[in-house]
Amino acid sequence: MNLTLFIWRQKGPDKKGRLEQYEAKNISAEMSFLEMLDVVNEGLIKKGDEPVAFDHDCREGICGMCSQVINGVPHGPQEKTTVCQLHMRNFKDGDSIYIEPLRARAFPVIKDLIVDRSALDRVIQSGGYISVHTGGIPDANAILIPKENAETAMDAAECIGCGACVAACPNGSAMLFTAAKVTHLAMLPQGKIEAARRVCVMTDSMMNEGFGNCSNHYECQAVCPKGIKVQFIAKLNREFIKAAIRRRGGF
Amino acid sequence: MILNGKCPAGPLAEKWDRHRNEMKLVSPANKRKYNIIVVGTGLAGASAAATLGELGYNVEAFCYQDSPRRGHSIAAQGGINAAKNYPNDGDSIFRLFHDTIKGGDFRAREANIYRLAVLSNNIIDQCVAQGVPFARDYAGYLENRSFGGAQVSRTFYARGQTGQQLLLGAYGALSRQIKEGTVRLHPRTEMLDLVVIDGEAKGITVRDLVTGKFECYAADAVCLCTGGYANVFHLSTNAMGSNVTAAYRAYKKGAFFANPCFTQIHPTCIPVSGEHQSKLTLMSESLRNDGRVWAPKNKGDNRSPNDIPEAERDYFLERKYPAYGNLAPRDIASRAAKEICDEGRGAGSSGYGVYLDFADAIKHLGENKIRERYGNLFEMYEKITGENAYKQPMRIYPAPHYAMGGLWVDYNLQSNVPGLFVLGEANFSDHGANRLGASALMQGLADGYFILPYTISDYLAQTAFGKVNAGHPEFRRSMEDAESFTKKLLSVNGKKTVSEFHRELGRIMWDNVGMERNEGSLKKAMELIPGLRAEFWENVKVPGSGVELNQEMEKAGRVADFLEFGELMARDALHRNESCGGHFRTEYQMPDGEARRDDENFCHVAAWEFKGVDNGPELHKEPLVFENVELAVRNYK
Amino acid sequence: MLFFRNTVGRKIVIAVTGQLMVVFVVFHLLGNYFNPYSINLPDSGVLLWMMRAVMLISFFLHTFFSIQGELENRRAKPEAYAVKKNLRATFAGKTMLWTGLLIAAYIIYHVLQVKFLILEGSFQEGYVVAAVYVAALATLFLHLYHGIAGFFQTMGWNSERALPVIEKIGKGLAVVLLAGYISIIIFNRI
Repeated sequence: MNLTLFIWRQKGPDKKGRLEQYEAKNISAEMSFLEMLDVVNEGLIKKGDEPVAFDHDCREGICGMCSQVINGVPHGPQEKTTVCQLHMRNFKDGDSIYIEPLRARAFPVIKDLIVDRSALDRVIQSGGYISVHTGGIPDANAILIPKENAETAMDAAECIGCGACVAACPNGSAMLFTAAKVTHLAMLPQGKIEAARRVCVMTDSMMNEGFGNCSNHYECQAVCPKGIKVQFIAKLNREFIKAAIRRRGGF
Repeated sequence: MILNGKCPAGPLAEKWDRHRNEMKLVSPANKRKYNIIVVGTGLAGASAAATLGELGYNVEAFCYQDSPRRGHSIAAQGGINAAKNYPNDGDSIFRLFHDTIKGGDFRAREANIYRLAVLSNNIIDQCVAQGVPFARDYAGYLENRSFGGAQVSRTFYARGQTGQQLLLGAYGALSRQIKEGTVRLHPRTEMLDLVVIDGEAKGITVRDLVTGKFECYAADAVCLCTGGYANVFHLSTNAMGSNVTAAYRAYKKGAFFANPCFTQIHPTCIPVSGEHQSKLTLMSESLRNDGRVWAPKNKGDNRSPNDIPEAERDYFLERKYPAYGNLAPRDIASRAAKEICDEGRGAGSSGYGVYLDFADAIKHLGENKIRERYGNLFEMYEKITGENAYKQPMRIYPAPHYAMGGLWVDYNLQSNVPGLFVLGEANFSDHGANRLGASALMQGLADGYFILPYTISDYLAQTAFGKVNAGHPEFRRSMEDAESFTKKLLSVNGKKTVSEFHRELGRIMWDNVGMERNEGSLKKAMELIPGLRAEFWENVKVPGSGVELNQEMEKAGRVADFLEFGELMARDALHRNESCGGHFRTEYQMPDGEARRDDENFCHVAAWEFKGVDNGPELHKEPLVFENVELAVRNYK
Repeated sequence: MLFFRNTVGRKIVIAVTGQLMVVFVVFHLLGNYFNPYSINLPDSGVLLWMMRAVMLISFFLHTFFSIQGELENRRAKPEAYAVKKNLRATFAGKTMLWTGLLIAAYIIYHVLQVKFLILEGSFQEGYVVAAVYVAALATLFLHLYHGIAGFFQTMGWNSERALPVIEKIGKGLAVVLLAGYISIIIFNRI
């Protein structure tokens, strides 16, 4: 199939960017979306042009590196699928495809489709872990965890940190990302100890990084390649209320 | 030179404890005066950096990805082994040790593997404490499953994403140390050179992948946790960015490269769909529990698989290995599939694939049962191929997966260059000639959490801190070398893209140094690779400049290293006149096609010393001594 | 003050004050139906003044934190996509600030007209005023269409099974309120 691509090109963080038009010719339905871009890039290199820069690594949907907004949807049209797992059979001959970077103030563009998502790392650094040090740990089975809680924790822990939720959110909020980590750890007895502090510092850190507030649009869940649910945000809110009540200084 | 692995003396079970008691310590007040560089933030790197930070050392951590959470350990699906014996099925530390050393076809150190088996239990404790959501039973206890042909259930897992969850655990620990200020993180930064001063590793030269700037970092010790090199085959299950560069450049600075020919080929991957293919996706081996593997009996039979009648199908694994059938070990199943395709009987339009058929299983178990067992795999298969595997057989093909070889290290994980430590897949140590399933995660974390923090202090305690700074002339020279290498890449301005060279190299490696090798094919590879390398330096086209984010240039540097490293792999494979584990030389096989080991002449680690790109490297041997296990022949009949 | 400082805290303040006003809207409707001219409502009862104080405080907190949040949200999303497709976000949800401001303007208009009798006219008398009232009610409907369901999510009273029910309840209540008020206008005009 042949496609017309409109790709965001931007030389550097402080440069102005714009959409440029490219033709992708003889694309097979078997290709992944990124392989299609590889083909376009090979063509550009041969012509002496600069290839399109985009983030990608594992190409099996788990590392969270790939990050593009395709026709207005982060990770493109297929549900619960990262760009690297999206295949060209989801498109048809003659289609026009708009490819843009994830957009948010907290995700400044570095080049073309590559953005800086280190703000998400800093949200985790603020408290998205259990403060245990290596060694001196009792036997693993000393902590019992109800199966359902372990399953919910795992549902939340599946987040790959790609930032699609932020890119889709009309407010540029990272609440789903933050809630996934808060829920994962709050579901486990070993994570409960720091739960009150965690929910406060992580949400504060999220705002300090320039993300927006959550206002219940649920756009995040719709684009999440791992199907992380907005119920985890409700769980985060519950954790916050608990924290505020326990910490009498809350009022 | 005969290398010494420095395994401590004493009975096997006491070696590590005794060694721990004898190693020197760095006093708490002095720890923060020592700088340690950790390159790579996968399981080994993240766990090492976090633990060293906790201990109070000053750590600089580097990764080429945008976040330390993206190391390729994250893609590991199956699980992690530990000798907990929770299911009470007779497992023990000795059994895990024995299975691992036998699985590696007796080409690894006894003492290392025993230590690994001991530490496996601590790893599970540690990970649970970090909040890794392992599978649980209804009473709330940890669940186990069996894996990779072991006779006991010792594999802990978190759905099909065990690697992800373990890595996120280590990433959490690392994040905590970054917050504390003990670890400074350098994402999107690639190591390009190891700086060796007076024979000791004292720093690295890196390139900031965003600005293109070269920088030098001095330290008292350097830890490489930079993963494996399966991408030398171009197509593999590794991430696109996985590379040999850090390890290879250390090799060029004097570190020995051990057993590079030991690579693992995984039998159940989704086949290549065309020239554009950029990577291969692995599907859990468990599929072979219910699927039947077959290929058309006739060459060039391109009917749809459902139209091929039973009589014209060749269930070749069941035919060749009646006892094990479809569950034949990884290497045997992989080789058999390749043989079929080489005969021209491959499935699918490319001809590189065989069928994995679930029709029989669906008939007697029902589709729901199959969906319950493998639903997510079938879904993934459909996403990638567009085919519904409930209705038509899957197509599978083997793919390079894991590198058992790596930089040579002693029992302390220290390479022959003092001050250089190598962890995880980047070192050669624990898997011998073949890695068992669910062992890679175990090794990466054992190295990072529980071994290196002890052994590095033994080294540091015997060396003064801050011996050199980045102003040393050796750093300047290293930086100039790295810069001129980049300039050279950019100045060729030829006609072929980096990917074209990588693809060609991959083809050479797969055909000649792949899962079956022989003297002829290896010699051929050693002729072809230098030719391709020469062409690369005359005809490669790398667009853009070096002072900006330039992904083609990053790739070019990595492929340039693969173009040298491939030759080393072929040379190592050629030297090893035996078949063992993942290394199968067609000249050395039993009448029934099993690998024929030569314990008399090759029961050693082959460690290669760099002597110049165009001169052959020098071979050093570390003899492997087995005091506690008997060298048996693997038999799957 | 954690609730005023933290993003989740503010969201909870907005949700709670919003719901207090929804409660008022419900009682106001009931009052209109069963006691159209508020004849028996004592003008200076403590209860009434307390209620007025709660409404006034709610109104200010709700408006203040909503505007503050909206400004933050705009800053967080400085550049728009050339093409953007919404999968779940609704028109009602995305226009909360505007519908909110319009409602605020309407409330002031309504209070000046009905309570202080400063502005002349009423929907019973003129089509124009009636049209304004209908428009205001449509705006309120949009606001509540997003706002009521969101309240449960914000308070954390949400689960996978509850979400579809909550959304239906929220939207249903918005529809009921719209229908109730409009019926008063229609009833009075006919």
